[in-house]
Amino acid sequence: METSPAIVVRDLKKLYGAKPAVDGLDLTVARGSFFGFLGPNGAGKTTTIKCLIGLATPTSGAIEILGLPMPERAVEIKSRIGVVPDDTLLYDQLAGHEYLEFIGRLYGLERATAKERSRELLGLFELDTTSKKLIGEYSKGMRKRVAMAAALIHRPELFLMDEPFEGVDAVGARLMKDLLIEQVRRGATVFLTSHVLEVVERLCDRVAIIDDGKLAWNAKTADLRGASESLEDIFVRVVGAERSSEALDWL
Amino acid sequence: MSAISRSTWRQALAITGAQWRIARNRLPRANVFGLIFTGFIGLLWYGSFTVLAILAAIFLSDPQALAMASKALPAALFFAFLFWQVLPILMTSAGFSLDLKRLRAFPIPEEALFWIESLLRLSTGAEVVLVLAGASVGLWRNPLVPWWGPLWFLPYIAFNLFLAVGIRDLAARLLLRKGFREAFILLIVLCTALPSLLSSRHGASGFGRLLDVLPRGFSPWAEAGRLALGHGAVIAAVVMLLWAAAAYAFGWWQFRVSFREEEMPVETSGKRAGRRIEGFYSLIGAWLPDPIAALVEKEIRMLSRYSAFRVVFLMGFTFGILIWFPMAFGNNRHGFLAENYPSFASTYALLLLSDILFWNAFGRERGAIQNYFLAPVQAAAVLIAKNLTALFFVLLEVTAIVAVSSVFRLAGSLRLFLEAYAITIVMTLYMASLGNLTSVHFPRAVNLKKTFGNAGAGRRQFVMFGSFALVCAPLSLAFLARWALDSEAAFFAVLFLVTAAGAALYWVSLDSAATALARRAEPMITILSAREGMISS
Repeated sequence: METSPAIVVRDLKKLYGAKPAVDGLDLTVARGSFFGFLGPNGAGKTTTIKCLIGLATPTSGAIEILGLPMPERAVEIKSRIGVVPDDTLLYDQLAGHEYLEFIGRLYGLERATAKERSRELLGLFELDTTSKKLIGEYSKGMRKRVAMAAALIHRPELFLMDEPFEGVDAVGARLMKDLLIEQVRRGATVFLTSHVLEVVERLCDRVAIIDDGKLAWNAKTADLRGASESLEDIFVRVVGAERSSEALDWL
Repeated sequence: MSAISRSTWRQALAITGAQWRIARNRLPRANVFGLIFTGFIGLLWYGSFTVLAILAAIFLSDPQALAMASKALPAALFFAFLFWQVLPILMTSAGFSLDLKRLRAFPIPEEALFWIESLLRLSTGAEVVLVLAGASVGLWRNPLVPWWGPLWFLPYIAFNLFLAVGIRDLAARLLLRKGFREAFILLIVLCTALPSLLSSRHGASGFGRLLDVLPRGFSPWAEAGRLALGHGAVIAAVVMLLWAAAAYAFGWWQFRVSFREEEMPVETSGKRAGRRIEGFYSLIGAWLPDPIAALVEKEIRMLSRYSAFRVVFLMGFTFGILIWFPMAFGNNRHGFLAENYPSFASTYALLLLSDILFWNAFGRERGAIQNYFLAPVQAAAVLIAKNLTALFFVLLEVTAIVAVSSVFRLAGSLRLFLEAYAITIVMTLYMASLGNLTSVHFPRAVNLKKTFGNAGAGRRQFVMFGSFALVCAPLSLAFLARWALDSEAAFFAVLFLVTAAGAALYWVSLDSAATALARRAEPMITILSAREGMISS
C-alpha cells in the first residue's frame, strides 16, 4: 500500500503572458479522498487541472501525482489516472463503443478486454441502446456520460474531473456520483471541480477554494456540519462576490 | 433594396469588424514561420497575377491588337469564369463564407447576409478581378475603345459573384448527401475532362476552334468581351444585364434554401457504425500491435466518415485518371507521360489527398487531440499510426487507378502498375517526412462539417504543385537515370537509393516531430480547439 499523497502541488505558477492564471498554489490531496476544488470563473481551476494532467506546462513549481514527479514520469502517471476534462476530447465521428474501445486500447488493455468493458460501460451509462449512434449526434449529457465511461475503462487510481456533472440529467448525475463514491470506497482518489456547491458539500470530504490563482480556503467538509456558515456562504465570503445589478439602471 | 437599411449596414459592419478582431486576436498565437510561409506564397501567387494584369494592360492598350483581342478577350473571360466557378469545386477549396448556422439566431435580414456572402466570393476570384483591372487600364488607354467599354466588366464580375454564391451553396448541400455527392463529383469531373478529351482527339486545332466559338453567341463572356471593346449594341448590353440578373436570382434562391435548411448532424446515419465494414477498419490494425493498431483503426474509421475526405478520395482516382489521359495520349502515345501514365495518375491522386493525410494531419482532430496527451502513448506512435493510415489510403487510391485503367484498357502493363505502386510508396515516404513536421509545427483547425476549405482554389493548387515539385525532385533522378542510360536496372538502382535516403529522412523527421509534439501540447490544443468566427472555412 503506497502512502504518498495522491496529489502534491508546491508553489505552482502558470503565467499567460504576464498574467498569472495560477499564482503560487500549494495543495496536498490525500489518497482515498474525495476532493472538491472550487473557485469563481477564471480563478485558475481548469488551468490547475491542465497542469496536473500534463496538458499545460507550469511556469514554475513542482507537481507530484501518485508519488511520481510530473512531467518527468508523465507516461507512467497517465496510465494510472482517469480524466474528464471537457467534451472536446471526444471524436464526433466515432460511435460510443468505438471510442471507448479505442481509449481502452490506448491505455494498454487487450482488444477483447477493451471491447468487453466498453460494452459493459455503455450498459451502465444507459448508452447501449444508442451504441451505433455517432458521438456527433449525442446530446450534451450523453457526451459527458461517454467521457466519464472513458475515464473509468482502465480502472484508474486517481480521477481528475472538470465539471463532470455539467449538462447531465438527474438520473445520470446520480449514477455518476454513486460510481465515484464506490471508486473512493475501493481506495481511489477523486479530484473534481464543480459550480454546484451542494453536490460538492455532500460528496467531498475536503474542499479547497482558489481565487485569483491563489489558494483562498482549504478545510474538511466535516467541519462545516453544525457550523453557522454553509459552503455557499463561505464561498461568497472568500471570493468576495457581492455585486448588484441595481447599478445598471437601463436593465 | 429597402431591406438594406442603415441598421443592416451597421450589422454588416459589425460582422466584418468582429471577424477582423478574431483574426487579429489569433495573430499573436499563430506560428511566425507559418505566417511568413503563407505571406511568401501569397506574394508569389498574387505577384504572378499582377504581372499577368500588367501584360493584359500592355496588350490591350495597343490599337493594332484589337482584332486579336476580339477573339482573345471572350476566351480569357471564359477561362476566368472556369477559374471562378469550377476550380473551387474541383479543389474543394471555395474561400471564405458566412457561418449561417450562427448568424441565423440574430435579427439580420437574409438579403444583407446574401450581399456579404456575395462579396466574400471575391476570395476565390480576386485573381480574376486583378487581371480585369489590368485589362481595364489597357482598354482605357486604347484610343479606339470608348471610355464606357471596360465598365462592362462590372456586370460580368457581379454575374460571377452571384453565380458563385449559388453554385457554392448548391454544391455544399449536395456534397452532404451520400449518393448525390458521388454522382455530383463524377458529373463535374466528366464535364471538366470532356473539353480536354475532345481536344486530345483533334490535336492543337481544338484550342483554335475554341477561340473561334467562344466569341460567338449570347454567352456572358462573349457579350462582356464585345461590350468591353466597345463593339456591342444595345442588345448585347441587355443580354449581359439579363445574365447578371439571372445569376442574382439563382444565387439568391440557393442562398435562401441554405439559410433556411435545418443543420444536419456530422453524419446522418447511424448505420455507419455497423459490423458490415468492421473488417475494412481493422484491415491493417489486425497486423499491428497496440497502441498503433488502435490509432490506425481510429484514423481509418474517422477518415472514412469524413465527407470532405471521401470527396477528395473519389476525385483522386477519377480526376487523376481523366486529367492525365488526354495529356498523355493526345498527340504522342509513346511520349514520357504516356509511358508513365499510371505513375502520373497515382501521384496526382496522392497530391489531392496530401493536405488531409500529410500536411495538416492533426487539423481534423480539433480538441480531441487531448487524447494523445492524456493517454500513456508515445508521440512517435501517434505519428507512425497517421503515416501508416496515409499509406493505406494511398495504396487504395493506386489500386483504384490500376483497376479502372485495366477495366477500361486505358493504359499500362503489369510493370507500369508495379512501378506506380513503387513510385507512390516512395513519394509517401517523403511526404510523410515533411508532413509530420508541418502537422506538428503549423496545425490548422479543420471544420469537419464543411466540405470546402478556405484557401482560394488556385492558390491551393499552386501550393500543391509546389510541394509536388519538391517531393518529385529526388524521384526524377530515377527517371533521369533510365533516360540517360536507357536501362531499367539503372532506374531501379537509383529508386532504391532514393528510397534509402527517404527512409533516413523519415526517421530523422519522425524523431524531430515526435519531440516537438510532446512539447507542443498546449499550443496545439489551443490552436485546434479554437472556434471559428462568423466567417468560416
